[in-house]
Amino acid sequence: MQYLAAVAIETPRVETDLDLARASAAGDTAAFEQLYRQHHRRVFSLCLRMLGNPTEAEDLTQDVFVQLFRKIGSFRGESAFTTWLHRMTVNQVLMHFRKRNVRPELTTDDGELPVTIEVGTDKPSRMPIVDHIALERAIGELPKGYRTVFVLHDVEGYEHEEIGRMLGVTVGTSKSQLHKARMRIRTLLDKKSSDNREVQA
Amino acid sequence: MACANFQDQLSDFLDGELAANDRQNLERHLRTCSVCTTIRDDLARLIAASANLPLHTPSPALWANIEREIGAGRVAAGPAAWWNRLSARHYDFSISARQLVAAAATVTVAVGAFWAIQIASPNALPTLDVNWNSMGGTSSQGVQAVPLAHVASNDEIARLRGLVDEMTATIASSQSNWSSELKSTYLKSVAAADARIAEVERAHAVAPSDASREVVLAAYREKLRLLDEFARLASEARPPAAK
Ligand SMILES: [Zn+2]
Repeated sequence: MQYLAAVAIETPRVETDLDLARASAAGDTAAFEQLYRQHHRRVFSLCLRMLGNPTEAEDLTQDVFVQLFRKIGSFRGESAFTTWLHRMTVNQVLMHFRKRNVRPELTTDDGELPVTIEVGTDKPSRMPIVDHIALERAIGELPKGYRTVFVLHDVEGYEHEEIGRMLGVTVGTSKSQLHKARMRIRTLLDKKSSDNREVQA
Repeated sequence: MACANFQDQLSDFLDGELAANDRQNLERHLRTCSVCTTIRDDLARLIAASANLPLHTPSPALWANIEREIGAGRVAAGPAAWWNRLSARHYDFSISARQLVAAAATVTVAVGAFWAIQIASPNALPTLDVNWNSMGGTSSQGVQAVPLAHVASNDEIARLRGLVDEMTATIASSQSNWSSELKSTYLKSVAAADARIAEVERAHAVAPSDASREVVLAAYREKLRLLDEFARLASEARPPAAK
């Protein structure tokens, strides 16, 4: 059979995530690949920031999409597809931590990292312009528990209530870990460019 | 109350989670304390930057692994499906160019948007009629790798460049059974992408800034997206027997 398909200029993407999810559930792997193309960078970035290791992050991204393919029939479109997929990704990362018996370091409020307190006599020095690469590096230097809360809240935009539920900690713990993470990153970014300044514990 | 206590409240303050009473006390303190004010400003910038981090790109081989694991047969999708999807994709090599060089000639390439696709058989590689009217003066001779030495060294740019090279090599190794139309389309697309990259890299070299680096990164990501599609196409075009 022969046919001619003429493609219009500036064709807008007509297939929504829900359309693609439905097609995928019906076994259309080309539709599933399109979902992958549209979402894999977000999923990979989340894994990479939480794990801090590109190889592990790729393995986990693979697991997420394989699981997504198996569960995609249960996506009904009542929430945004991205919300659903990212929640699945976070769960996968947390499960990975548990499997490797990595302690989330969230059990105590006063971790091993003292928050640097600056007092009124210090000369205030502004943190340099926040550079993406330096920021990524600083996130990678955070202890795992701090990093998890920071990535979920400040990078991914989750609320403390949801983070608390996912990690099994109180809202207060989540808030306090986040604050410590931010203060820690600020110090890390500050140190990079102004070594002349003394920090006091 | 000491600065330490006020600083402990700064995250809640910035997140809008501080009770009214505490907030007023803190605001009063901030009016007189430059140290706590500096920290508040730093954290605010940190929060804004964290919410806008650019995305990372995994290895282009990742999809093949996933495809294998979910048992998606390559035959099932078929080259015809690939052509249809590729033709629906839009590649814009003028991303953010306006911020950088308002007068720059923008090259917009909609792969497939100007194609009439004739599919002879769902199992054969389709032949293409290419009517490439968006290309302007860019010639397919421009496929040579862009000279890169003048670009400020940068981890992410280097990484994307590595991915580009990797995928270009992958495509080159399986190009032999492409039709001449497909080859020419590929060359033209790559030339347009390279022209875009050369242009933004020149601008970045002249006046390097965070913004110009982002524009360079965007141009590389866009080329990567394009190569991604052709790499898939290349693997689809391979005869099923040759594993
Ligand atoms: Zn103060």
